[in-house]
Amino acid sequence: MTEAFAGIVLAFDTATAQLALACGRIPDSREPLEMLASSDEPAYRRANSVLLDRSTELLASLGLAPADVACVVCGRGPGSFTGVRIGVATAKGVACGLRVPLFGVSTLDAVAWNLWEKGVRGLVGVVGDAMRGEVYPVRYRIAATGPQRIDADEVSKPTEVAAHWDMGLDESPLLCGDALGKHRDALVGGFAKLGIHATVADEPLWLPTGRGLLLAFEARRRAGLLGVGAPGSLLPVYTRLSDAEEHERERLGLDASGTLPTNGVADSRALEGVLLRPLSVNDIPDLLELEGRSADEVSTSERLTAEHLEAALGSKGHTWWVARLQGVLVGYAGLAVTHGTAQLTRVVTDPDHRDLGIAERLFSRVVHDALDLGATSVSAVTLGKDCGVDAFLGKMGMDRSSDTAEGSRLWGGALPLERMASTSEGAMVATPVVAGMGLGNHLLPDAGSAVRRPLILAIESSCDETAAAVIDGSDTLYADIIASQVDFHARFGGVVPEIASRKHTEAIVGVVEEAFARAGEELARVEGAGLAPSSGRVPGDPRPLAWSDLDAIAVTVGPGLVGALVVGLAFAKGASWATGLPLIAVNHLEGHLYANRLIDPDIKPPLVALLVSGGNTMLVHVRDWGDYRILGETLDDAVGEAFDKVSKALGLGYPGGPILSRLAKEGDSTAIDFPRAMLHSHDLRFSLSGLKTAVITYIHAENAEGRAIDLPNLAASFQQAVIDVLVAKATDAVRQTGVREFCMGGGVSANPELRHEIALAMRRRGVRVTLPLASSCTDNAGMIGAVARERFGAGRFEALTIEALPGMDIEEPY
Amino acid sequence: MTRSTQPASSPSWSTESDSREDTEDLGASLAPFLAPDDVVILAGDLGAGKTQFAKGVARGLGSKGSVTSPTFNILLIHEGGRLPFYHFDLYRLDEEWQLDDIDYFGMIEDGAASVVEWGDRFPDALPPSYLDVRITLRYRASAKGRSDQGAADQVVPTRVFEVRGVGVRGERLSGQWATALGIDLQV
Repeated sequence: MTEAFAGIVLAFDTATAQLALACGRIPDSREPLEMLASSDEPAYRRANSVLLDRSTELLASLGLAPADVACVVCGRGPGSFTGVRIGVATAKGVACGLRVPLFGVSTLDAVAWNLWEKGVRGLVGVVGDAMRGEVYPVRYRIAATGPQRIDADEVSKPTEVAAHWDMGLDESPLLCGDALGKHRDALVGGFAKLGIHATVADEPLWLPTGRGLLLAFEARRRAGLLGVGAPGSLLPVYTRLSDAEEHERERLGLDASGTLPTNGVADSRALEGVLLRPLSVNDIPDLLELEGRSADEVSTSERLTAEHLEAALGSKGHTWWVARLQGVLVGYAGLAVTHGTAQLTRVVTDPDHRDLGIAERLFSRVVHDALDLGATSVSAVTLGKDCGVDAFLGKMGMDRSSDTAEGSRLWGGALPLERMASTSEGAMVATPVVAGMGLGNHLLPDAGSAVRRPLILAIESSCDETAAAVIDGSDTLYADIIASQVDFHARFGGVVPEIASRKHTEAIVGVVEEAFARAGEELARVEGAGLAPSSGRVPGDPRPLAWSDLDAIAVTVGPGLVGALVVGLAFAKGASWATGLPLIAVNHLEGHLYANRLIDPDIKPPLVALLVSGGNTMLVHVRDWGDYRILGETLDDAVGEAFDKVSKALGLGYPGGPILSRLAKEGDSTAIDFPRAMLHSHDLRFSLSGLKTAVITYIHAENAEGRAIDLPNLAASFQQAVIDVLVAKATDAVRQTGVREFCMGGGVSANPELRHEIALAMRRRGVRVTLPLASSCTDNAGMIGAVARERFGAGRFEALTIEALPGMDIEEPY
Repeated sequence: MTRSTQPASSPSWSTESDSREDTEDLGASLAPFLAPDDVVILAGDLGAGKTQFAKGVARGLGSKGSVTSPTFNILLIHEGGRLPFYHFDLYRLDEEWQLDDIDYFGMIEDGAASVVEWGDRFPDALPPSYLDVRITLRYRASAKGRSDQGAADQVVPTRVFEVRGVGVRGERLSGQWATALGIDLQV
């Protein structure tokens, strides 16, 4: 199935300082690719702004348009991390938008194939710049038929390349690659030391070209090595993988980086995540096959049949989900709701994929659905001897209520389960893609309501979370998905790094597809959901949303971490280019303000908002929507950061906010008199580093005196010091501006004590307070959609040249 | 992948700061000597004054906008000055490979002046040439028998800045900065 496609191929690479671009045609799946046109230009760190316009121009020169593209090819590096990420994310957006396959090609292979086309033969070393004084060296032997790769991708010191290659003295390689710019002498000198004369190719041959990229792709196609071309599974080439990831790959039987085939970079390195979907008729045969193989799961006595499942698909009160890993069905779960009780029918995972947390994710999914179906409790019956299922149910927060004489066990629990509730604080996230997280049920569409245009897909990737949402013209959220990155890390044997911005590149396609699937289901509940006539969507149609149902694509452009922002932005731009849907840019901080409007549509400026998160602490005067003035912000640390740092200094976990606030509940907030920094500074600025230092100093002093620290008292006293300052400054801000409305945003606004005290203080002054749902305080895409809806109305659309704005200022209109 | 060869480094020198203002001024006094791709590695405990120092560097470069801690964002970019100013904070990173994740090595060779808080967290990932600034808090012996716990904010420690240049650019920066501060390195 893999090579059976034909049509126009668009190929690009942004891993180096050169934007390589080409277009070809495969007339028929058995025939060779024809080169149609190419264009290569220097685009150092500008790839994100020029790539799509250049693609349009190249296609136009051939009388073609984006919609004519039948396949996308993208350079996967190795190269500049940001550059590769931009290329891969754009390619994913284009391929998803067009619903065409996407294939990756090694950037170094593209260089080698360009040399071949230019007539170079013999031993060649392509040496890419790996930064930090290192290089990516790969040897090729170029014959008349094409280059043959000798080495796998790796990282080396320039001076060690020659010795590493360990060639005979008669071998004299031709060197090329962008590392020569920085390391020419070191590389050539390394060879000279071994008595080998290395020749350096002419500079124009150092970089990948569009034609080289297409030739490398064609070689893989002819060799039958393309794979399925799923956009979600393409990943950049990572050459400095952590040990944990290497181990995981070995465990999953995937290629370790040292044993790659010599003809290119193995596509199986692109580890596709487990994708959860509602059960469809097409899943039933696979499901029954797995059912036949598993006997030891949560089950009722009778075996599932196709009739049973088909009936469940067509009736209300049933929910079934399946998990697929690289296309293979690896798990399923289902339950039925009657009279407010959800009876768990199955939670089954493939015995070969037991430790991926699939069962937990499936469980969370069906239980979330049960809540939507009106269930207030969940129950399950387990049979046979205790074989781990009981432990699983216990772990998921259910209680063993009674055992029957026949030896079966009854399990039950009130919804939402404790464990599910804890996900809102981020401490224990059972699902990587938490559908509907941050949504109160009242935000979901009411049955009988109608979709109001515009329908917008919103994407957020400014820091740790990859998120996507679908929102309509009445601020109704049809999907609000967050790929919590905790789960990715849990997969890697307990290594839980706190950030991993490249996970955005892995997660983005899955999150958007999840949002489409979820929105499709929600729309099916809405009467008269006949969206665009082209979509053919009718009421009750549960299919995933299609791009043609949408009116625009929105994305966070700043502020945030540049390497994270570019992924969401490049994907959104690629999809916008492919679908022709307009692109809307959103300021992340403005999103936090709008999160309040999702709670209370009546909230009206002028108002004062307190934005408190891990990265921000500011009071904003919202004179009108879109007209903001910062009244004061932190001079040093953000509030969330102060919580994190104190938590870390005490040897407690991350994130610090929920941990300390839980501890504080048990403590005496007057036990230690920490400074209230700048409480009397007569302005609205904050400073938290002094408080942080005072806490650290206190810890040092207590340790030095050999006294044990009373953690609850310390947490409560610290939290109180923070809250006192926030409340005092917030009330000052309200007084100074004379506004009658106040709202909050950002992760710290989920702190229960802060919410309580600030609401009290404001109400005492007759000021109306709106607080976002505790679970939607953190970064999410729903709030980005809320801003986008307004910008759509004002016609604020962006050109595809827009770049990420990591330092974006909320005061500056955009 | 071994990085055993330690680049040459000049002798270290030190100076002190008694206040936030001092610390900021110290940062500003380094700024005039910074060139594209220069890296300042800032080491020191929580509350040592790293962000305060970075604030001074930004001021000295003429960067626009306020400088706050980049812990959450990991990298904050400040434009508008003589050079772009990249303010990193590696506190939140736990593994060296995460540096690739944020394109750290690409960014510090991007033509800006970089200040890296917690830059000493990953000794194997230090650039070939950099200025090493290590801030230590020295508590004066004023805590004699303090029994009242209510005075946690009374201790004002002195900050000791220990400076060392590593590699060609690092040594050069160290020398120029010491000279500007009137510190004689020929001892």
